[in-house]
Amino acid sequence: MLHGILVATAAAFLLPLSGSHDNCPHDVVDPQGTDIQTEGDLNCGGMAQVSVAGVQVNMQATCPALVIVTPARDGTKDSPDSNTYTVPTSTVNVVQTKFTCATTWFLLFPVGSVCKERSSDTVNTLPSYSQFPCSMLPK
Amino acid sequence: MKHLATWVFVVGTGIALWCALPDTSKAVPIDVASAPQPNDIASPESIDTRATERVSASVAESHDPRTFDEWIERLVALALETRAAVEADDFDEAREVDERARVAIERMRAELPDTEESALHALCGLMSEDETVAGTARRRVLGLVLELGLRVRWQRFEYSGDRARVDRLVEAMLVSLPQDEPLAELLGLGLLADEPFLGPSHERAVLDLVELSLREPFLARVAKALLTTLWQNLEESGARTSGNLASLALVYADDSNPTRRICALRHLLTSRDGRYEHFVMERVRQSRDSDLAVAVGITAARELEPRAALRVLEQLEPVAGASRLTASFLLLGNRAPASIRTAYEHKLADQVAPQLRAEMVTGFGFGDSGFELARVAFEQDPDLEVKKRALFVLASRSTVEIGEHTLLAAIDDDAFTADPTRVGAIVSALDNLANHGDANAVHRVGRRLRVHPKLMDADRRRLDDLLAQHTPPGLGQ
Repeated sequence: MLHGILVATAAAFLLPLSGSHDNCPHDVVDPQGTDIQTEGDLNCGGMAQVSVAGVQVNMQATCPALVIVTPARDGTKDSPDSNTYTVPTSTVNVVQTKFTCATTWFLLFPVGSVCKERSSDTVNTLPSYSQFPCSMLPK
Repeated sequence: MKHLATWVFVVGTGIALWCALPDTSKAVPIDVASAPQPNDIASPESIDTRATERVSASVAESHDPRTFDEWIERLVALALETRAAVEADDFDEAREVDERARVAIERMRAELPDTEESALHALCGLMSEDETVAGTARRRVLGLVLELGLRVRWQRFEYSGDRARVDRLVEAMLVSLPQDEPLAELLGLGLLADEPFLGPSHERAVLDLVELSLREPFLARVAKALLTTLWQNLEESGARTSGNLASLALVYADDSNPTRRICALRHLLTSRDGRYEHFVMERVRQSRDSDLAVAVGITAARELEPRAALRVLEQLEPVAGASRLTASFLLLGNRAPASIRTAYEHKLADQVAPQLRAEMVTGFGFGDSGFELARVAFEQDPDLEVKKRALFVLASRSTVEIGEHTLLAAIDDDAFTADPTRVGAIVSALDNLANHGDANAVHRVGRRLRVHPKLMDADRRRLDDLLAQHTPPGLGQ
C-alpha cells in the first residue's frame, strides 16, 4: 500500500517533467465562493391588526421571502500550462429556503420570533472537482 | 476622490452631530391640556387628540414616566412582560399587557414632542451587537416609535401639502444610516425602501449613500433599494418626468459605481414600452458581469410582463452562467406559471435551450402550481440535466409514492447514472423526499442507491448520514 502511494507520488512529480500526455485535458480546479441570493422582503411586522392612535403601523423586519444558497465548491477551468486534469469527486446542493412571517398579535413582541423557515429544498446540484496530475491518466 | 473624502467627513460629522444632539423631548413634557382640541373632521391632527382622550380614560400606570428615556424603559419592560406571558402560554395576560403598551405609546406621543427624532437619536446610540432579549426589544420599541412618527407626519403632509417635517426626519435617517449594518437595514430597508417618504430633497443624500457604498459594502443593498425607491417616487409624484429619469439612467448606465449602474439598468429595463430593453441587454452582454446579469434578471422576473421577462432571461443566461438565474425563474414561476409552462413546451418541442428548460422546470415546480410539468420533463425531456431538475421537484412536491417511484426509476436509468454527479443528485433528491417524513420510503430508495457502482465516496457518506437520520420504526441503528 505504502509502496503504491510512493510510486504514485513519484510519478506525479516526475512524469510532468518528462513531457506532456497526449490525452491531458490541462484543467485546474477553479475555487468558487459561496453564492447567496436573497429575494423579496416580507413584511414581517406580523401586525396586520395593529394601529396606534389610528395610524396603521407596518414596521418591517428584513425577512427574505426566499434564499438560495450555493455552497463554496471547486469548479473547473482550462489551464494550458497546467499538465493536470480534474474529475468530479463530490456534489454540492443548491438549496432554496422559503420564509414566512408568523403572525404575532403583540405590538412589542421581539422581532426575532416572527421570521420563520417555511420549507427548504434542494433545487439543483453542482459538481465539485479535484485536481490530479496528468501522469496519473491511463495512457 | 476628494469629493468622496469630504462627503465621508460630512457624513461622519453628521452622524456624530445627530447622535449628539440634545434630546429636547427628554425634560420638556407637553402639557396635555394644550394639545389640539378634537373637531368633527378626522384630520391627521385629530389623531393625537383622540389619543389624549383615550389616555385620560385609561388606567394610569403607577409612577408615570416623564422623560423620553423613562417612557422607553416602560415600553421595553412591557415588551418583556408580553414575552414572558407568551412563553408561559398566558395569552390573556399577553393581550392585556400589549393593550397597556399601546396606551403607553399613545400617552408618550401625546405628552412629548418629536418622539420620532428622539427614537432615531436613541437608535444611533444602541450597540448593534446587542442581541439580548432586552436589546432586541429596545430596538423594536425605538423602531416602532420612529415609524409611527414618520407615518403620522406623512398623513399630515397628505392633509396639508407641507412635507417639510417629513423631509427633515427622512434626511436625519439618511444621515444616520451608514453608522452600521443593523441600523442601515432597519432605517433603509425597513422604513424607507418601497415607501413614499423619499422625495426630491433627498436626491443628494441618496446619491451620496450610493457613493459611500463603494467603501462600505454593507450599504450596497440598502443604497440600491433607496435609489430605486427615490426614482419611483420622483416619477410617481410628478417631481421628475419619466424622460428626465431615463436621461439620468442612460448617463449612469456606464457608471463605474456598480450600484448606480445596476439601478440605472433596472430603471431603463422597466421603463414604459420596453424601449430600452435592447440597450440594457447590450450593456449586460458587454460587461460580461455575472452579478449584473443576475440583478437585471431579478428585476425582469419581478416587474416585466411575463413574456418580456422570459425573453430577457433567455438573453441573460449566457452572461449569468450556469444556475445563477434560478432565483429569477423561481420568482417568475410564482408570478406567471402558465407563461413558463408554455415557454417550456415550445422549447421542448423545438429541442432547444436545455439550460433554460432546466430553469423553467425548477421555477414552475417549486412554485405553487403543482408538479405536473416536472413529470412531463422527467418522462419526455431528452436532456439529462433537465431530468435532474425534475427529479428534485418530484421528490419534494409530489406524493411520497410518486417521489419514490421517480427516484427508483432514476437509479435504474443507465444513461442518467452514467455521470457519477447525477448519482449524487439522487442522494440530494432523496433528502427532499425525506421531508415527507416517510422513513420506510427513504430506506427503500437508500438501500438501492447505496450499492450503485457510480456512487462517489463523499456522496455515500451523505447518504449514510441521511439514512441514519431517518430510521424506520423498529429497525433501530
